[in-house]
Amino acid sequence: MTLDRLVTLHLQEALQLAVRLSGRTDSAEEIVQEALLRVSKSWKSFRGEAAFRTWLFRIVINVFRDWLKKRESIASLDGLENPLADKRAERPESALMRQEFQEFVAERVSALPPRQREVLVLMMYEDLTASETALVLGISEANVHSTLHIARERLRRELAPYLVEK
Amino acid sequence: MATSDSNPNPPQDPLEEILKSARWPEPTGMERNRLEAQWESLALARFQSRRQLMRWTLAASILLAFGLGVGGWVILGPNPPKVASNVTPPQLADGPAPKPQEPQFAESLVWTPTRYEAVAFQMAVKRHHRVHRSPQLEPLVNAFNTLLEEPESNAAELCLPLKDQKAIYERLILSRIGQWNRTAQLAGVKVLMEIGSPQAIPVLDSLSRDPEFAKHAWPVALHLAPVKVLSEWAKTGTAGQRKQAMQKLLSLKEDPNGLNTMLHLVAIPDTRELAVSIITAAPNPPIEQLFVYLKHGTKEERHTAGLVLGQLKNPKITKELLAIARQQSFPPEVMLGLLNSSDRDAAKFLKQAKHNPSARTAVQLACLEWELISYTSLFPHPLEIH
Repeated sequence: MTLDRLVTLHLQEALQLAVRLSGRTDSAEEIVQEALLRVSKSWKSFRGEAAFRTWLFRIVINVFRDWLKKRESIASLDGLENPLADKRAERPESALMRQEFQEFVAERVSALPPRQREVLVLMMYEDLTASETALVLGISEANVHSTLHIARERLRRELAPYLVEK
Repeated sequence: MATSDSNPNPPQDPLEEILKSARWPEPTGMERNRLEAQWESLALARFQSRRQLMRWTLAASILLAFGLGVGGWVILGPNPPKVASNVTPPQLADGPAPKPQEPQFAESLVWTPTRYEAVAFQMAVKRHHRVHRSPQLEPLVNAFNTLLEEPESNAAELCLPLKDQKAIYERLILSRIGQWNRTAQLAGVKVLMEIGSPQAIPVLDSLSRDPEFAKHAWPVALHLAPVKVLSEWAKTGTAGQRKQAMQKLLSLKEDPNGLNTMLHLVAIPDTRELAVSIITAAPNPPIEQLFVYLKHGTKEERHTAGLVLGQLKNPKITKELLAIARQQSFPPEVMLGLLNSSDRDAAKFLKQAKHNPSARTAVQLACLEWELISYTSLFPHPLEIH
């Protein structure tokens, strides 16, 4: 399969990954633009030792990190500062409220500290395994599991009012 | 051993359901189309540059061949080989390369420079200003003056305006603090606590040769130190410094490298006792994370996690360890945990295990593996190599 075909095939996934990491479509487009530039410059270094998707995701993650540094993002601090008790904090009953709540949950995920965000998004929403996630992020599998655990516990605390034991 | 598990939570965890329902803004077709158009133009640029390169390569090789032919005629004399004299110079392409066809999109969807280029330009402007203009010193001077006049002022509040250019301010302070008087140095240290980075540590270290000043510099160094430096202090500092470095490592809840390094310190004979005591004395020991390492870590991480879990002297932990031991045929790291537990249930289990060949072997294996880990812990840890 040619490079062009591979990029076209995975472009939507790359864009969705960037949206989940950054929380916004305009930022995601910026991130993927830069990622495509890097793919175009460095595709020769891709030797097929990992799936193209994994390689592309690694580039998107690196661009995301550079983008965060540029922004001097305080998204994680926003997560701490913004009180959870706002009008969306009522238990979602209507479809509209449910949608707002689902968006709220997405905001919480996109407000996690960067490493936790990356691990959770890759494993939970992009369906990567722990070893694939470790490969994309350049960390050990144990680190992946540990970070995932920390991320979940953080979200569990933040979303505690909405958790109902089944 | 349990296999790699991407979902360590029990099946009915309500958190799982809520997280899965998360809903992000959907990219519209416009973003996708713009990105595809960008890729097309990048692909075209690559193609053109390859084609141009091929053209130049072809031209160069033909010219070379022609040159050799002419040279051959000159060298060989008035009767050159007929072939060379009859060679016609190649016809290079006239004019510029043919204009590529416009992609067949509606005009509104053709890629136009967007935020990326604007951001790139802004960054270039900022870079230029950074190089050619001095930073605004007023916020730094204000913070300093206030701290000098009123040492009890809230440094965190005073330093808020400095956050945007903290790297530059830090460099300024570090290049001058050695020449200041003690009062100014103390103010400098307070500012570094708010805006400093690991870059400040060597300077703080040199200032700490004065024991009186060390009292003020050490907490700042501890606050700024990355995991790698804390790991070093945990091994080589004074007794007090080692303890504080380990406590800091354990407190890094959002950074798994903190606990990871602590587990490595448990493996090293010289630091084991202190590391274990720090973890077991912590008000909220990281029990769940230790179980994560017990199940998914490297051999050293699994064994040290097992040992620490055993030392935590918690009946619930013992119960969990016993359950894993029975379900998974006595993994050595779990047996190590039970061996280190003073719990009665653990002792009872181990007594019975003497009569069970598999369990007995597992205990012996646990001890052997622990000896090996203690020995190999003396070699550099991966975190210390980079």
